[in-house]
Amino acid sequence: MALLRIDIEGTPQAIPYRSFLRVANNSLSILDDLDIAFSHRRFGGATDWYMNDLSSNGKLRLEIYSKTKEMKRKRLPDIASDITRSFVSGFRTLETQGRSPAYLSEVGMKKAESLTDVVGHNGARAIVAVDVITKEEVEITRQSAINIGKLIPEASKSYGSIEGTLEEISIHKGNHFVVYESISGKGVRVRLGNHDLLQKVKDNLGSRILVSGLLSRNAKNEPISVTIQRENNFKVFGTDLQILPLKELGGSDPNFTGDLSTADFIRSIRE
Amino acid sequence: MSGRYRKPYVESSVFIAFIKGEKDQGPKRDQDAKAIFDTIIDNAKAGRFKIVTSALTIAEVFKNKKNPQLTEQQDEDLRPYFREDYIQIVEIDREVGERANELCRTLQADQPSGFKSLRPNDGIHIAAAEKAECDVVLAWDPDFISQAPRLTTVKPENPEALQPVIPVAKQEPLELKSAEDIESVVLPPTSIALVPSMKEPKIKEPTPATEAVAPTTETSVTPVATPEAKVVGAPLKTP
Repeated sequence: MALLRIDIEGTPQAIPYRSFLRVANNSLSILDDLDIAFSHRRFGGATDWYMNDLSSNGKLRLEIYSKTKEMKRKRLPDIASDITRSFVSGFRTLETQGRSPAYLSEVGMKKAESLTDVVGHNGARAIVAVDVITKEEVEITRQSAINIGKLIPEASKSYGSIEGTLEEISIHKGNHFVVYESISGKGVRVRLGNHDLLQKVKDNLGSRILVSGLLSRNAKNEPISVTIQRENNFKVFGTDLQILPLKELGGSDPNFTGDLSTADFIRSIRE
Repeated sequence: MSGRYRKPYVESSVFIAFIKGEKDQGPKRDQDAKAIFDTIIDNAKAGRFKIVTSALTIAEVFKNKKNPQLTEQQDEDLRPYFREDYIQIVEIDREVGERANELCRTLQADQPSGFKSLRPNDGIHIAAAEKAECDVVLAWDPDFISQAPRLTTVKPENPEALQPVIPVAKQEPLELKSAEDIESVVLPPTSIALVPSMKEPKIKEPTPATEAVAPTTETSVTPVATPEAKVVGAPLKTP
């Protein structure tokens, strides 16, 4: 179970109802986006959120708590604490480091942009998000909005690849899926183009994959999206890419570098 | 010292010395490359960190074909060994290339200080390690390590053996015949942890849907606590 508090700091009477709803709606969308990343459930996630408090005492307060969805045949894991922790730490990454947070997809980033856009307007000075259980909190200021503004637009394109876990397939507005990159955890949108890969993609939901193609990056050089150019740009580890245990290699070939020592071999190939 | 490395970047020479099983590495030529890297692999497999390397390492770790006694079997493809999920590969992209270029321009030969020029591929390894925010570059190459005093971000050094990983015995789930059995099961103290928040819960009684939410002052309703125990140990099986 998790408890998330969101305070809109400022002058309550000056904050438009529309801004309040925007914070509420976008924070829920971000929670749903993170839910998909943790639950691996592309439709609806695993968590429902309920109101715990709605009050005003010098600031507008919204407090929600989680309930894991109940399924008839399957017991879903309680991932709510992961979601709220990532919500808070993600905004901290955006606010203080100006980098894309882990587990937030392109859609989630746009929701974060919309949420932070409220700050600095119509009496809303800042938004404070608190994971009530861990007591971790973040103050979201105008700086987050500025940083997100730099992270969403595409700054460069090059041929490249990303490795990560395949999640969240969408067949609307052009087929695409989301890969959570293994190093940063950032959600990267992969466009399938006109290639007949949808079935293979569906069959490998949750798998570790390697996707290559035209890679778009933001101003921080983080990958935003990949457009697959050829069908063999989509490879699944363990299926298309054989994996062997690294430990087996240890001491397996004393003559690996011929009559050169390791250092001499390295020097010979680098000079 | 299992906490020795937070995020090590492993350079090609470490993989090559490991494959060769060399026992004469390090400044005193007495370090066992295979035994040391084995402990690093074990720690990575146990989830303590990821082994980071770059696409350049995959290119550099190949069998030296100058050896005339090379057989078909020895010339095997090593690429599948770099695909384990505890190994993270850094792509060599424009950013890495430009940073390596900058390092090579900065770290040129300096005869009074005895420094050789930083080689472009060494620069790529450093730039890749920086990109992945690694804390160290592990290498068995003395030339590369000699550059360490001039590097300000991540420095190359010889690998060190880490504490061995002690395998955790698999805990079998407890079989319960009836609900009464639950009372008789004694779990070790560390198996049960109260969710921290439950000590001071703030959950209110759910408000009926028809009841309007009044903009009241803060926490006007007394919270109702429902402490729940979170069983961290073995799952309990009920019939």
